[in-house]
Amino acid sequence: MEAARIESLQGIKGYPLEPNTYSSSKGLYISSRHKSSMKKSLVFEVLFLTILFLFSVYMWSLPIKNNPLPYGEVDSAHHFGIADYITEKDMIGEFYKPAFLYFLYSQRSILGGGKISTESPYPPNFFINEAIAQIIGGDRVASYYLFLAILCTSVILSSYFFIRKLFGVIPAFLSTLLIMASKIDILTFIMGQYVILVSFACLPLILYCYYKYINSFLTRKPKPIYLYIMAFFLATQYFNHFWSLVDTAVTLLIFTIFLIIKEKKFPFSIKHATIALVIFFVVLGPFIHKSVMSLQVEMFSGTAATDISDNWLGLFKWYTSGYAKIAVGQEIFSYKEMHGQWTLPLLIIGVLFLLLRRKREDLLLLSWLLALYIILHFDIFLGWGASRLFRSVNDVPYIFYPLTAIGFMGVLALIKVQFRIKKYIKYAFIAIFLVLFVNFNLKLSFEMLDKAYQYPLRINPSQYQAALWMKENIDENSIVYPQGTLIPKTKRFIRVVSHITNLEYDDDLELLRSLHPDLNISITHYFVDYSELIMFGMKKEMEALQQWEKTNFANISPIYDKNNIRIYDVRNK
Amino acid sequence: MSETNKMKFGIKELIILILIASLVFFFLNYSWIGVRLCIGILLLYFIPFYIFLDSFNLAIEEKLIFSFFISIGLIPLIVYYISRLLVSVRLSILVSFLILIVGSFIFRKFYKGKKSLFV
Repeated sequence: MEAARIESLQGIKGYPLEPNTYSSSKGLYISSRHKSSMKKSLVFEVLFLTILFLFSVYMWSLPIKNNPLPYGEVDSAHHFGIADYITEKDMIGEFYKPAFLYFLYSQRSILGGGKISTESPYPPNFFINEAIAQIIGGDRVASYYLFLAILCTSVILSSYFFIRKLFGVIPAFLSTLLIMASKIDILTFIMGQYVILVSFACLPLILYCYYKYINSFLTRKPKPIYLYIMAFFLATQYFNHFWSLVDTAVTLLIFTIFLIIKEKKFPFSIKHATIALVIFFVVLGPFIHKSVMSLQVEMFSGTAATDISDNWLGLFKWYTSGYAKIAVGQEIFSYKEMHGQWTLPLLIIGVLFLLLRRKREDLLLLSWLLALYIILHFDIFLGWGASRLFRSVNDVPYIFYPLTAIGFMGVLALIKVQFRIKKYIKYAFIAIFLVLFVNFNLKLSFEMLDKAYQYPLRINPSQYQAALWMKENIDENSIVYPQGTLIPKTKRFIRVVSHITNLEYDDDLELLRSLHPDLNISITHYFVDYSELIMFGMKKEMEALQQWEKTNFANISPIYDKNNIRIYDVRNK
Repeated sequence: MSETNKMKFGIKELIILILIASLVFFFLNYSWIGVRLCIGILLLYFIPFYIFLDSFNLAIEEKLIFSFFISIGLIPLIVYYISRLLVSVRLSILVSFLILIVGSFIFRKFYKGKKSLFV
């Protein structure tokens, strides 16, 4: 009965009704039946994957390709600043020692501003990776952002690999296409939350390694190497953003429970698991306390938060009402906006097929889906704030899209016609899938990246030149007051490019003084900026700024006067 | 030439083709910065751990993908530790690369094929 059920659903896996054959020990996918034709298909597969990945890098690097000046929202400037400081100084010191980063961090830290350590509360890996890219690439800005695009699209490689190995070529390609154009990921990328993307990119590989190990263990030929390699991936996750470890842990736990029920035995050796854990903790080494600190921050803000669901009805929704209370664009919680309504039936079919078939790999994907559902509802179960759980939203496309692709294969498997006719039906279905993908997913995603951070939403050339000049000519401990610069993110980038504290908001000076009463903080320079006002065509404001400049600096000559920006040294005023 | 040999030759050609395509892509889109970055990533983020993983009974595609994802976690960590001694990040990157390459070759030479805990 079980065998008949599985046989009837075989068509879901990869090429319909074609077993997924590859050598497990040596080399690439080699068919035992059609070596010559497999060689050709292998070449096509690898070339397609290469094109897909390179196109993804192209698409995700459009914001820097279109304009070579730094950009980003929220933490972006901070990330750029740390990596850039390492590169410029050619040393990895204490991350928050330079004043421009220390003041920024002390203002924002919920650990207690003014009393924080100059060491970073985060592991150094992401920043050093980016500094390495800057050094190798030889360009301060382009190398940083290009490597960022590569890191953030690396999930395409890990996800393709995972789905290819477990479900075959077509589901792998289709799901990876959708991931490449995932609006959730693109919004996260644009908002500067890069580390969470890099961290989640490891998840498919962790699941693959665990699956391979469990399979080998259950067939009495254990290959613990997979478990040990998994420990390294867990460390990579931790080093980039510890939150994805929550998703990983819950998924692995549920999968293990499913396997214990299905196989009626414990699916791994305690000895192997212990060694893997030892590897994990040894690799973390002295950085283990870093994320414990971050965890405290997360938990602190989680329990203190009010962004939790109102009632248990939230259990019947993918996102509870808690998510409606957090400060992000609400379209990110809309299925239609993020994934396209057309994928929903396929997603449901995919889940149904896996529920019916229940092979080990099916249980793995179902565990992932269930784990994500549970985590996203931690606001109901544990009272954690949705603004923290929100990080797991990035996990959504990585499980939804493979399920959608499996649903697509499931629809194909349901069509009972001759093999030759089925081949044409398959091509027609793929063509329809591609048309829908291009129209409802790719076009908008491409546009989002192509139009991201146009002026005035990023530092302009006048401001960039002035910031570079400040870096060379003004003491690093100076405090600069920008007058005329309107956009906070522009001010942040002037700060990190110049390596000098540039006050972002009007009350920042008072805030810094209250946080650091011992430092005798005062404004040393004024950055009088007409460039944005000109860009916006704000004539009245320009005249007001001119008047203000005349009144305040009547007897002082600017130390910098270029491209509608003047800098005044007021230390001796 | 046997079928298997033909296959292996094909894979090498394929890898070279991909490398050339990638270099051309990076040059056309990002000029020499892209080319330098592409070569740098290959040298630092693929090769050392690929050689290390080559000691184990893994498929080529596993070694390739695993090496990149292990590297993005471990390479900066190794650079960090070495920079504690050498201070200069640039020098630390070079020394890390050399240590990893030499270490991986030595590990592979003495380990490959031996039955042990890691089988």
